[in-house]
This record gives sequence, structure tokens and C-alpha cells, in this order.
Amino acid sequence: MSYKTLLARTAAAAVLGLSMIAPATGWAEEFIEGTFPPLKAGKPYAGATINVPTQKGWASFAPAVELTKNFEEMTGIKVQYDMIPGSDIPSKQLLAVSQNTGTYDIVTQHATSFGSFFRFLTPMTERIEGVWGSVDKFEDWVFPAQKGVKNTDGQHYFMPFHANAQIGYYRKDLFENAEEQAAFKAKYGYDLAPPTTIQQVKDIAAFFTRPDKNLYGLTTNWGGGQGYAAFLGYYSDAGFDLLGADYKPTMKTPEGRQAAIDVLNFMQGSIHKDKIVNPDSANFQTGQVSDFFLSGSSAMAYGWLSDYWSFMQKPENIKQVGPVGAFRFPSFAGEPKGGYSSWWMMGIPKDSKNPDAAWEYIKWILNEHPQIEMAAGQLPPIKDLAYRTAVEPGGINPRALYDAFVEAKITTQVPEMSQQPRTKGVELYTEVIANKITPEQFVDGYVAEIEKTLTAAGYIK
Amino acid sequence: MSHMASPAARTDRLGQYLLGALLALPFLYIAVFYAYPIYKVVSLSLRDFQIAYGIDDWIGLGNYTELLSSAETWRTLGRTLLYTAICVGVSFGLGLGMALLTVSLADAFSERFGRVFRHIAIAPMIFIPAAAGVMWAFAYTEHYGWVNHILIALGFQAYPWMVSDAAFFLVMVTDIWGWTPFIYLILLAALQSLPQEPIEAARVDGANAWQVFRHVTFPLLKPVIVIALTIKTLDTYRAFDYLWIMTNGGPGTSSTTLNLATYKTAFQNLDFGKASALAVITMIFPLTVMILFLAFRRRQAQ
Repeated sequence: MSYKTLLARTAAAAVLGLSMIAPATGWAEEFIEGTFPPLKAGKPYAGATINVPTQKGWASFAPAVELTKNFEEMTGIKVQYDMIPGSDIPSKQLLAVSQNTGTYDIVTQHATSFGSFFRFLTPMTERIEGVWGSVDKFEDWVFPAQKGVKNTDGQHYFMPFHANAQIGYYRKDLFENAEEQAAFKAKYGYDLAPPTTIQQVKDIAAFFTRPDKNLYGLTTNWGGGQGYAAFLGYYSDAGFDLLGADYKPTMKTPEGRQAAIDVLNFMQGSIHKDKIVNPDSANFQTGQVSDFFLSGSSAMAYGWLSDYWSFMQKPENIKQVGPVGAFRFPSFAGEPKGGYSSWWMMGIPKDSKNPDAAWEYIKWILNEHPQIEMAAGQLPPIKDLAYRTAVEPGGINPRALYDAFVEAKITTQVPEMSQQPRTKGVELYTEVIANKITPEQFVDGYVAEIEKTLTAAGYIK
Repeated sequence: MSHMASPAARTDRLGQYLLGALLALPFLYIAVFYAYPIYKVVSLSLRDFQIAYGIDDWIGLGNYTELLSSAETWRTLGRTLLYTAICVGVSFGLGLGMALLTVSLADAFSERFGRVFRHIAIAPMIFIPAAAGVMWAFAYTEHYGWVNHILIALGFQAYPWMVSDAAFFLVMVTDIWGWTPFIYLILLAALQSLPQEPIEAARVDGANAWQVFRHVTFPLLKPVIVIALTIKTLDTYRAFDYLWIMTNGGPGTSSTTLNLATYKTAFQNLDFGKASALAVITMIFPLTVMILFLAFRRRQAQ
């Protein structure tokens, strides 16, 4: 099924579904036909201008920006985007809403930093009930990760609009080459295929690392903040959340400590000891991983690579590497336990000048049309839509992305964790990955920082 | 008797008001853009001000005590001074050498020759620091960078420069590359405007090139050198762009200077109280440099 057919069918299904509901509820009079979540008919907020912050240069969100004119025509609401560099996304918005500047009508946040915003946002419960009938129905409509976004009062303050997970890519021309397969089997005793264990990742990467041919086994986004997030993702997929129920760092337990050290030994050793990952990976973000992989310099790649899936399906873009396959990156625990997900959300700040118009926008961004348009490179947070884009034949996302996301988690949100411990965590991480300190030193330093911050904040008694 | 002033007196008074208003403008400017921000930073530095958690408490010198008792602060200060000393020292040496070479080339060959050299020497000035930072960071990458390509061509192994302790020093190289032309231009202009009589007289008296430079040219250049070094020192001490773009202050904190530490504390940790205290501490060195500069000027005037 082609992408256009998929789009047409989903739109038709939505219209059909709504036309069945409409006579009984008077929906058609109140809401714009064919929209779900439904947008109010009659343009009640026409003339309002809402200021929406978003990440600068974010390819996945670009289709939504393109389609905004549709929203503006339907509602009469004008949308102004504030494109903020990724690193300033939390601080710029936090400064604005905490000082009651009324700058933003919407707050756009990522799963790693939203906890700091709760005190400045309005709860969504009433609005959710108004659309889905109950919070339970809404939670069933989206992935379970959304439950991890609730505040301690049990209310939702954010609505998701983008889901993602880190996955691996591999070169089919190498993996499906008969000579390579035979040589690999002779050396390691099992068939060459996308890895399902960390040991297999190491074996395959070592097998394909050929300095004389300018080829590495694996390239990764282990630079700075993304590398730190990758570490946390592996740690989570090994079965450990960063904080326990008592808010103490799980890395303080013997099991957690060992798991973190294992993960870091793998990351550090792959670059500096085994040399199966290109050293530049210690500074790479996903875009650079994609470039490096597409230049034919690596057999496998890891990162937020679904963003580049559609791009890599076009023959003109993969001349140097041939067809590309995707795999779910294995867990350090053997069985996957769910890594951390990328979960982007929007909330309405208390100082919003147009909260109702902002809610119309949030509903619109969750509609099928913008979601499907944005789905090339992301997963809609809506379960059914995500399934259609990644699992059903002809889907525009790799199956591995869906598989990686189903069990993905949201990191425990303690506002204080977003600042000092994170900065310290990134600093320590960059020292580990540069081989300046040992994994044990990382764990000791990071645990001490978390404990210091959370004790001062009163979480740890 | 009428109390009405004559038109001339009225015009005179209006002129005085206007003059008063004009004189008040600089004071207003200083008050709004200098005094108030400094007051604000100092007052914030005395508070525990963390907006993310709604904390805003007066803590007196608490931030200063914490910062000054932290070994990391002293390491950062040492790193900042090292960065400043090396960048200023090398840029000055190179800039002076290049300026002397330009003058010598023009004397020995032709003015055109000196002009061509000058154009080449100031080429780095056309790069904005952000672009230059990206360009140099790329040059040091293990796989794509031309630095490693040269090493490989010479039979050495590629080295992951930016993932090592070398990163900090490579940022210095970029800073020196970017700022040497500035020193060079100032010193070249000064050299070209020096009175020729004392130099000619020294030559006639039999002084060699080094003696002429040591006893005539250098003393004449001294006031300009002091200005150039003051500007360059203050600017290098405040360096941010190359460091942030090339290393983000890392690996770890190995290239984090006071400016970067202040930025991280304010905009990553959102701890504006501590960041303000760090900013005040950061100001001590530039103030010292300015006081020394003013003392030099005063002595020179006397």
C-alpha cells in the first residue's frame, strides 16, 4: 500500500467514523467535520494569534509548519512559531513562563525536561474529558509512555505530538553478501544477521572494521548530550530507571552500578580499546552518524535514525551503501526492557494569553493529517496511527522503530534532575567517552551529584 | 514692571536646558546600561535564585563561599588564565613578527610585495568566529579532517584530536589563528606611522637591525603595544564562541573557562544566583587589567 493510499484510507475512515457519531451528538454543528480530536466549528477564536515555540531545524516538525496554513484557514487563529535552538528549548521557555511574560501560548518540551514546567502549566484533565470522554480513554488512545508524563497530582499537563526511539541501521549489501556471510560464520560460528545481543553487536562490528578499507563496524551518536541520553537509554533497556521509588539513584545498588559500568565499558571500549566504533562518534550527533554511514564508512549505525529512514529509501541517496535495513538495538540485559523514548509534548502555560486557541492548535497537531505528514521520521504518539505507519505493509517507518517504542519509557520526572545533575552527567559522560575517567568514576561522580541535589531538594530523606 | 523675559533670554535659557539634557544623556546611558545591570548582577549573586524550582532567598555571601571553596572554580580560573596567557602571548609574538616582516618586505622588495603579504596575513579576519569554529573542529575530526589526512600521508596514524586533552589547546590554536591578524594590523599601522628620523639616526650611528628594534622601534611602539595587549587580553579572557562551538567546554570540563562555566550555570542549571556570583568573580581580572592600563597611561602622561 502506497503512502498516498494509506493517507486516503485513514482520512476516509476518520470521516466515516465521525459521520456516524455526528447525528447522535450534534457534533457536526459544534465541530469541524473530519477532524479528530475535533476542532471547534464557527471560528470562535478567529483573530487570536498564538505564539508556539518549537525546535529550530527540526525536520520532523517541518511538515506541521507547512500545514499550519490549513489550521489558520479552518480556525481563523494565526500561528507564530518561535524556532529555538535545541539546547535552549528548556531554558528559554522556562525563563518566559516563570516570569509571567505571556510570551508563549504553548510550551513545547521533551521528555527529559518537562518536570520543571508543571508549576507553570494548566492541567489538561477537563479538556481531555471534553474530547475523549475520560482520561482513561485518552490514555488508551496513545502509547503507555504518556502515563509517565503525569504530574504527581495524577493529572496530565502535556499532550504528546511526537514519539521516537533510537534504533540501529545496517548495510544490506554487506550483511547479505555470500562471501561475507561465509567468512563471518567461519569466524564466529553463527550466521551473519542484524544483531540481537550486545555480543553480536561487538562481533559484527569487529568483523567489519577494516581500517585499510576505511570501514568501521559501527558509528553512533555518542557525542555530548545525545551520547549521555544514549547511555541512559541502554541503562533503561537493561531494566533500570535512573531513580528508584525512593528517589535514590539506582546506580547505587550493586546491580544498577554493574549495569551502568557494563554499558559504559562497552561505549568506551568500542572506541578506545576495540576500535570498532569510529572515534568521531564521541562527538557525533545523529545527523553526523547518518552522513558517516551514508558515506560508506560504517557497516552499522545507531541513533535517532528513523528521522532519516525515508531519505535512505531513495536510491539516489544510498549510492555508496546500497539498501539499508533497520534493527532494534539489543539490550544489555539480554531481554529488552524498554529504553528511554523521545516524547515531545505541548502544554498550555498559565500566562498564555489565548489558552483556548492554544488548545485548538494542540488538538489540530494530533489530527491524522498533520500526524501522518510528520510521520516520516517519527512515530505518531497515537497507537493506531503508529502501527499503520510502521507495521502495516507499505508503512513509511521501519518496523524496528515501532518495536523499540512499544516498551519505551519516560525518565522519572523530578524537576531538579533536569538541571545540575544533567549538566554534571553530561560532563562526566564526555570524560568517560574521551577515556579520561573510568566507568566506575563516572558512576561514583554521577551518583554523588544526584544524591546531593535530591537531598537538598528534600526528595531523599 | 513686566516679569516676562526678553526673546534673547528665553532662547538662551532654552539652550541651557538643551545642553543640560544633552549632558544628562550619557549619565542616563551609563545608569541604564552599565550601573543597573551591574547592580542587578551583584544583588542576584547574593540570592539563591533558581527559577525552575521557585526558589528566591537572600543568602548573603553563600554563593561566593560555595564557589570559592570549590576546587573546580579554581581549576576553571587557572584554565581561563592559561588560555588567556597563551593566546595573547602567541598572537602578540606572531602579530609583531608578521608586522615587522611586512615592513621589511616592503623595504627590501616593493610596496606591492608588502601589500600582498598583508592581504594574506589578515585573511582569517573574514571568517566569523562561529564559522571558523565549525571549520577548525571539522579539520580535527578523525575521519574527515585534513589534519589527519596529512598525518596519514606522512605515515602516521590518525588521531581523535577533539576527543582528547588536546582539544583545549586546539581551540587556542584557532583563537590564535583568528586573532593574530588583529594584533598584526594594529602593530603594522603603528610601525608604518613611526617617525623615521630616530631610526635613521640609530642606523647612521652604526646600530644593527636588532639594536634599532630593541632601543628605538620597540620603545616607540610601546604605547600602541599596551593598548593592543589590553584589548586582546580582555577579549581573550571573555572568549566563548570558539570554545563553545568546538568543544562545548569538554571533554568533561577540560576546556571550560569562567565564561562557559557562567553560561552553563545560568542557562543549563538555571541557577542564576550562583551564575551571577561567578560573573562577579569573573569581572575581577578585567578590572585589574583596566586598573593596570590606566596606571600605565597615567605614568606615561606624567
